[in-house]
Amino acid sequence: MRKFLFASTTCLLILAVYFQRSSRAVTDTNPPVSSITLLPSSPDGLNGWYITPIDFTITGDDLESGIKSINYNLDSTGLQTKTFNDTLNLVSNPSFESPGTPLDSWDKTNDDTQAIFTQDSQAAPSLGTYSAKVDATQGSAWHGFNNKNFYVVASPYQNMTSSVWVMASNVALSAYYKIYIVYDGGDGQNAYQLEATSPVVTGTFAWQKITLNFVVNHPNALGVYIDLGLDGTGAAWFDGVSITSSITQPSTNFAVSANGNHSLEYYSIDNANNEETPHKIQTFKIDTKVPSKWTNFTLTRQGNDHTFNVSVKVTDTTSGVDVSTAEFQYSVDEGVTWGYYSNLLNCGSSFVQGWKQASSNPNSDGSTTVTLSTGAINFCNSNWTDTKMIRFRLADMAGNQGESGDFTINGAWIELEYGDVFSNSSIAMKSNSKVRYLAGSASTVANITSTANWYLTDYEPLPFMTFDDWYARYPSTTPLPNGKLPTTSGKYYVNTDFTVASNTIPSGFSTIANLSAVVYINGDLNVNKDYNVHTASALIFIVKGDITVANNVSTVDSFYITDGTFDVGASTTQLTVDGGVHADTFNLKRSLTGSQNSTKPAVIFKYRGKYPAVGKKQLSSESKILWLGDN
Amino acid sequence: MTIALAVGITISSRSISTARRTTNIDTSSRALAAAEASIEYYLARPVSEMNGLAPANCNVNPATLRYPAIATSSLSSDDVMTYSEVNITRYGCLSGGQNAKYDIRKDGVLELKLNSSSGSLDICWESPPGGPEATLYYHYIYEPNANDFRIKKEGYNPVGSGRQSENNMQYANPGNCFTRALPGTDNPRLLRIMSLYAPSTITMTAGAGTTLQYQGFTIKAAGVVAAATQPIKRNVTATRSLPYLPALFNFAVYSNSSNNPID
Repeated sequence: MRKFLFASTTCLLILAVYFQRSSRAVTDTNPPVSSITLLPSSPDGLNGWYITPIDFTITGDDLESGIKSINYNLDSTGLQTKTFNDTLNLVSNPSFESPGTPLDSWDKTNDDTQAIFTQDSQAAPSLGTYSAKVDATQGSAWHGFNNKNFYVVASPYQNMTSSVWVMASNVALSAYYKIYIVYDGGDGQNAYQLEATSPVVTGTFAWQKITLNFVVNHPNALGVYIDLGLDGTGAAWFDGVSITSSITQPSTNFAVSANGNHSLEYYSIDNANNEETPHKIQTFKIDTKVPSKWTNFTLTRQGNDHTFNVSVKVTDTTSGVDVSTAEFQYSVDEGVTWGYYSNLLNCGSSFVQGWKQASSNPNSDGSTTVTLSTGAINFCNSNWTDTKMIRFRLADMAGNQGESGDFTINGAWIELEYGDVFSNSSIAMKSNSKVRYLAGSASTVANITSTANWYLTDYEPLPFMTFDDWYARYPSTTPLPNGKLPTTSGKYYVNTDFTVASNTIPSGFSTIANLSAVVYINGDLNVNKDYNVHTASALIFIVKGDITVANNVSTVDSFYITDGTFDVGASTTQLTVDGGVHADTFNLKRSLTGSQNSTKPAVIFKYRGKYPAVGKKQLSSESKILWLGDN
Repeated sequence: MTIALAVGITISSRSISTARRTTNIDTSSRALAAAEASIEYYLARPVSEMNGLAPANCNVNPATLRYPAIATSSLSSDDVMTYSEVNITRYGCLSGGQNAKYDIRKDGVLELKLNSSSGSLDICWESPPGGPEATLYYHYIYEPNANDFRIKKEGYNPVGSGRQSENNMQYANPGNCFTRALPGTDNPRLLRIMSLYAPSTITMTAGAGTTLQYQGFTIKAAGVVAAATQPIKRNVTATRSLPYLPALFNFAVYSNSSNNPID
């Protein structure tokens, strides 16, 4: 009978404790609180700019009903919401607002005479009025307090989360917390087992949140309790204690890498639908891109034929340029030494190896596009075969430094009429080149000027079809008739190298109208002779190897596609490519004699509308397949 | 005994039912295969042949073709005859005020055959929500004199995108729209529209008095299993555009290397 009464009483007590815990957070009128951390924690560039992407973590705190959702909206692009389950805080007096001995629902862990446990008025931000302070003046042992007698009910092997806000002053060893499992010891008594220990903090620091996820790793577990404190001497404040049945901490993580000025609005809502107000706002600015688009390289003669004012345009669309960082240097000995003559107009003065200030127009920090100028520079002689080069550099307001490519004074350049140019690497012409419409690359574009002023930079690489791709889609085994260029439309295949020469160009080839032909060359293509096709005809070469144009050739008339290199040689003859070239790499080393480079391009690419109109007949067609249901 | 018979009947019913379901599945698969085979066949036919099979104009009921054409070749090894009934029509014809929609994948091209149309085309576009908006960049190819092919190019950024600071192209009109004039004296031939930065869906509206020719073929195939106890038809539809060169042909110079610049 006595045992029955004892068991009944014990059961009632357990039930009372359970319902006390379960019903603790019925009323919650306090809104949650969000906090945010950035990584990097502060701008890693100049003038408040980040020059790397930022990793954000938004954490929600609610000591009562728990976090229901964390919400954020970046640049008003749309609300993002992350929801959480089972975030009800199961801890009694989690913010230490209720006093006691030392605090309501909390007891000293040991009969500790070497530390003082008090309710303190220094509370963690937005977490009530009070915190719990442990002030230990001696001893290296644990000075802690716990909620063992008000433990949180939990099931065996349950996943739980915990968190505590901690502030410290001169903590000699460590401040942290421990999670203990409460389990049935088998004789009607509770027993305890240390389950997990939180990360530790030491020294002196402002309020920070420590978190710990754990598993209630005992088959007879009844619940868990938390023991807060420090080893050794020092003072530590604790606030906002939370233990929940959620398997994840109420936080969300994301990265922002887009360049520009940003505004991040964020707030939390708890399970009682209290919304955090006002919503928090975090502003920041990112610029990961160096000044680029070095274009409009211009030589303005100043006196004799080897003295020029050199200017170039550069752009930084995000933070803008820092005009004080604009500099230049040049070389008159084919790139062996770089610097400037102390007297720019006198090659007999001392040569300084370094960078010299360039002027900027406009001359104001933050400008997005500026023209840098050197003033008059004497390049010592007009022997342009001894390459003379110049380069510029400039930083933006965020501290990203960009550098132009090396510009060749009176060097060879190319021109694209009506055609666009794109590189899956970059465009870095040695001398200012021209394109009528669009210049683009997967990174930077330097020293090519678009008449239309259209540029694509840092653009995703465009897909390329190789020889094998084309052949798989549009095969042919038809050999070239008599081993010569075709005179009738169709697809042809050559399983060796092929040379365009006098004896492989059929008589009257350039007069054949409405010819639409594709020639596959499973080898190298060598073009040793000028040739043209009729203005209404289109000839496309698809080459497995390299394409080499002989030095003496001045006109070729086809569209060339090659897996290898398009090499125009290194002669002084101007080359006109009537059509276009798609290649893996280019070797464009032709350079005109004397001062011809200053007025004429060494290579001209003349894109023709006839290729889409006429040349497609052998290499095209795309199909869409729509599937409908049954009847 | 009675129970055994009942079980036997149940098993038999289930077997028959299973067999019937198996048969229906087999019939359905055969019909689908026949439809697909005919689609594949006509997708590979030369444009000249397709032109002969489709009615001269859009929106005209086509004749029904049978594929395979020869009856005996429709017989399978188990003497089940399957074939496909095929209708081929043209799509894309527009006259003043009419519109058509086309999808363009990112960095892909839509090529419209203008075939000397005159007037204008109003072009509007949108990109899938949640991602960036496309910028449209077109090549307008015309032939004012015989064999004299010329090009005009234009690019339009989406309204309010701020992208002009990146590529210096102009912004479109409200609604992400612009108009491409088609002067008769140009003898317009092609309009190649490239979708930069993102995929797009284009709505093309012919201006008043503008007529646009067909842009491709629609192939509708209904696979049939003859003499099936429960006749099943499986329908497949495919569209096949008129030939065009890939988007990369918009570039006069293109370098594929990711390591070596054009210099």
